[in-house]
Amino acid sequence: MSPHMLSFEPELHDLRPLLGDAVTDTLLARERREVFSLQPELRLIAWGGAMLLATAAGIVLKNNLDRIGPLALALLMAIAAAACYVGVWWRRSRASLADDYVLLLGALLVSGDVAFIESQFHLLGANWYRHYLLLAVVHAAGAYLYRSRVLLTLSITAMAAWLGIEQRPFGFLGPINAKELALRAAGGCAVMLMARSLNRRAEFAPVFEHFAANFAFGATFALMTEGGTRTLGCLLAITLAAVVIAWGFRTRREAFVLYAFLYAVVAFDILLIERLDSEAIGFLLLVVSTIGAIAALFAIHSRFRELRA
Amino acid sequence: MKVQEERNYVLRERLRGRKLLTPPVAAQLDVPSRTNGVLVQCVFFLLAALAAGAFFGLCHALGVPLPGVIAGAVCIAVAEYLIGVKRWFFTGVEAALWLGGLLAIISELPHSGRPESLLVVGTVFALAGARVRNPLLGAAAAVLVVAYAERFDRGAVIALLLGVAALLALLRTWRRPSTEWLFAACALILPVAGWICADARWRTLTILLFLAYGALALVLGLRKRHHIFFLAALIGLTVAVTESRNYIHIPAEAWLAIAGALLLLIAYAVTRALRGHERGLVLTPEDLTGIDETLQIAATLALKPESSAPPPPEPGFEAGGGTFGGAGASGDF
Repeated sequence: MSPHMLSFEPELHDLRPLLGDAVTDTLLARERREVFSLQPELRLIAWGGAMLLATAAGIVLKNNLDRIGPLALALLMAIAAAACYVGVWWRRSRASLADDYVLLLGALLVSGDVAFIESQFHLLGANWYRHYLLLAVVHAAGAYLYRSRVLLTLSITAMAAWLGIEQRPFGFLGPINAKELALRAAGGCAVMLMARSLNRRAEFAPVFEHFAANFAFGATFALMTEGGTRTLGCLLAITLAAVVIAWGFRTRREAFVLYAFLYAVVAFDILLIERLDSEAIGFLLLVVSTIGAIAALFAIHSRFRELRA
Repeated sequence: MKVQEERNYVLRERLRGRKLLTPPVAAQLDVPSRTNGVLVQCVFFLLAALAAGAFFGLCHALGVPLPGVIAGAVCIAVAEYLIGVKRWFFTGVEAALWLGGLLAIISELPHSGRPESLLVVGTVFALAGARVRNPLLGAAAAVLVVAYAERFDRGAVIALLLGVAALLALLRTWRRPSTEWLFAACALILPVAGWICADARWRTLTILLFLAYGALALVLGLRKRHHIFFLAALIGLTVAVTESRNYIHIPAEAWLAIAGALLLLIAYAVTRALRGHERGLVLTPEDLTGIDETLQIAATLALKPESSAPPPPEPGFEAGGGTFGGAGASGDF
């Protein structure tokens, strides 16, 4: 064995005829730690730095409102956020991985600043919740400009908050019932599908697709939360799952198939268990459906492996 | 699973991640057992745990005598059938069935409420982990030992001692990847468990111990170049720095800002220093889990400061009763 820790050197030597000399030598250098990437650790450090700074900014706003005043604080925050965006843009030709996290910091500062300005100055009045929409647009623009999936996700969650399906769920516009929540989630799905069709950046497409599918399933599960719409919600979830599974197979996207299947199993169990009055039969159904799900998921997973091979 | 089979399985997953697993390569790295990747294992573990729990509930509902023993025995028998006959390993199912089965069996033991019960549960995790070679179950067993030691106010010390033992064990060449993963999991999880156990009255000692742990891991990381050493160093040093905050009386926001700026500066400095390196320490993209970016986005969404403005006050509302927090955010009226 090699003097190094866990090492696949013997196997890689055996694979040399299949992998080729160049690839094998690269892999062997990694196994011997002659080449060792610190990128994961640095990403973690930079991410931690950005999150700590964003949290610090929030506390500054909270603790210094009386001392510094809202206008100065809002301006300070805006300048800091702008400095992050401009700095990353300025360095774009020689960007490093830390720049991604300075950009994230800028976006978090913008989010905090917009919310702070709205809370202090009530610029949008009764339509205060539209600040989420503003954030969604700003982050989306940032995402496209800087090709950042993190910013795109921030944009989508801000949009979801504007629709009332995220962050302050189920009540920041007053109590909402299952149907209304389902409609909002369906609206979120529609926005994602529209964005997906307008999108011109290939790396963003999966983000839109995953959010669209989960908003749609969220809508069906919202219907399940009330007795009157539970059956409808279950049936819609199963139908939707069938559509997503078919689409997942067609486009060879296993993740969609796996979680659509899980959503369908949960909906199926809820649909049946609600109609049972025996605890034992309920448990039996759960055992049988879960075993069935495991068997079916194994078959699906094997099929995808064959497709990939 | 035999040693070579396990090694082939892990190498296959690595090559798959680098898009190098062509059919001829896969054929050479023969894995007769049915296996899954980590993420799919998690899904199957949850489903199988649900099935085991439901079966336990069914035995109870049917009034079967000693339902825990019966359900547990059936779960373990099914797990062994899957491992021995169907050759399922690292699928997530057999791990859930073994763990669920043993937990069901010990649920029939008389409940004494004594702290030693932690050791019994720990033994269950260790047994299940050893049988299915699951590092997280092994690390969970070690955490339960730490929890037991905390009954005698020794939790943090024991956690760090076990953590150091795991770090040193990682220096050895292990033929089985799962053995290395067990020590890796212990080296990362145990310090966190120890921190949870650490009391305020032992703060100085806590800082010194975690500083030593972080420094040892960092030195080993630089010498041996293993991600686990660097990550363990990050954990140890983070705990030491966080605890030392209690001795340095500056406002929380200043502390966070200094720490955050320092981390970003370190990232910039190291990135700059390693730019252009092609041997030794480099900055080539590497994905430790296969879903690093997804995990980071999820963590950002979960931990990002609130960014929601509170609704404007209703007419007649008397202002002054609220607070403002987060990154310009959580109106707490």
